[in-house]
Amino acid sequence: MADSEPRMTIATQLVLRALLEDPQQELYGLQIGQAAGLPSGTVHPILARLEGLRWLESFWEDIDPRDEGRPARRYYRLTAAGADSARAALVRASVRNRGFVTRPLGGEA
Amino acid sequence: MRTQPHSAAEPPRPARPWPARTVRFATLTLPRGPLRDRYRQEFLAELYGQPSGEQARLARGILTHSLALRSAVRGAGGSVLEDAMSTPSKPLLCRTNLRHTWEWAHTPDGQRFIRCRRCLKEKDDGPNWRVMATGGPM
Repeated sequence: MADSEPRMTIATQLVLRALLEDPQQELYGLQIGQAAGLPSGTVHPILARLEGLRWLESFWEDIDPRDEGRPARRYYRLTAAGADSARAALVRASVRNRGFVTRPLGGEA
Repeated sequence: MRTQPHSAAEPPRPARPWPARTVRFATLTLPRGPLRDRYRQEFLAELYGQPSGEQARLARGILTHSLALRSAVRGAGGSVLEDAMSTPSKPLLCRTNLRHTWEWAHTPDGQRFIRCRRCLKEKDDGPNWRVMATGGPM
């Protein structure tokens, strides 16, 4: 499990939640960062890990930069297996977080 | 494939020199070759069209997370900072080889040897090594 799931940090969870809003949607890094409420620099290492796990796939935008007046962007999309894994991982993470939050602070019942 | 062409009223803003340089510098941490080229183009494309202040902010964020990106693309699974925080560092006196805290230890097959308790360096030199290794005075 440790090899097939990223560390579910808060930032990773935010990125996955943003991507799962519409799993078919293709977004580039800056858009993912805005959707997740994270700066672009934070998002790209997370995207690289998720891509390494094949939860995400990425591809260059198919445009002619001269026609569009800007360079092609790199788009990311959840894979079908990645979307399922992400949902399951988020559920596990939320269960863990719930246990953490509801634990009594004093350590006694 | 989605495309978002710029409107005629808003001319596209290419990446400003300093943010572009910052992004190129940040990607130097990545392995040379197609991977570095990919991220460099990706970041420059994201700077494109952003206001100058936003470009600077984005480039700064990319630079400050460049080591985390390198760690991620190498498949290390953790940020360099976290690795550094979790790896116990050697005490200064051990690192400089000024003083060790020697103790006897055993190999799995029962042989005795001397090592530093704090940095685990093995004592394997000096004129008395053979004597010490066989249980003599240290």
